[in-house]
Amino acid sequence: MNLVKNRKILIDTNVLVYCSDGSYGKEAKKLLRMLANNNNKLATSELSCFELIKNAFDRKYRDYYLSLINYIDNHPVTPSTIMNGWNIYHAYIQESSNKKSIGSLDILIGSTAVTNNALLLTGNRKDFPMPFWKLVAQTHMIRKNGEADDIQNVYLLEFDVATYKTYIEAFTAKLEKTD
Amino acid sequence: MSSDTTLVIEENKTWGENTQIEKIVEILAGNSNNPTLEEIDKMLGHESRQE
Repeated sequence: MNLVKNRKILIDTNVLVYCSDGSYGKEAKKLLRMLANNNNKLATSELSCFELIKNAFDRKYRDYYLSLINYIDNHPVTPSTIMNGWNIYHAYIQESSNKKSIGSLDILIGSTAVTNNALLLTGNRKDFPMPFWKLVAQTHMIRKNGEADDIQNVYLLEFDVATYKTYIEAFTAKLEKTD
Repeated sequence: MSSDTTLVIEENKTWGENTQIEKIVEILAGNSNNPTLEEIDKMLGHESRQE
């Protein structure tokens, strides 16, 4: 991760919540600091802001997350994000191993990164599947869990446009048949 | 590739200009009522940390 410099990075929801965890928090915050110190520009999606706040159990949690998201550049879902999300979703479908559903919010979060030519920082590789999202860098955080250690990986991903083009061709052909 | 399926890139938008990492870290560090990771997983709809 330390080699990544001068890039735009979209922080996925789960990385923000790791920051608030008593065990992982220190390393997660250190990671964000390091990325910022390397002149990367960090932002998040407005959808992540909603994911953070939607299940706040009470006003205290709600206000906590509200205070947090006030200090992160939040990027909205634009018409371009939606169009790209539509295409990315259909490219996923063309790739057989991704037929099981990926959540709409995760598709749009990924699409926000694509639309803004940004890398994506996430703790959940399944939400941003191969072969579409290639690994740029990876790190991990450790927390004590009894005698064992829990390990949480954090991935920096980049959307692979060449792979996307391979899979979207079949969808394009279908579109043309229906015209 | 059709123009319908060409990905749109918005290069000129500002990005990350208003992000204040130190402020975020300060807020996160100052909250003693943070949810547990298990609570967070439920919030995000993830079934298990072992997946």
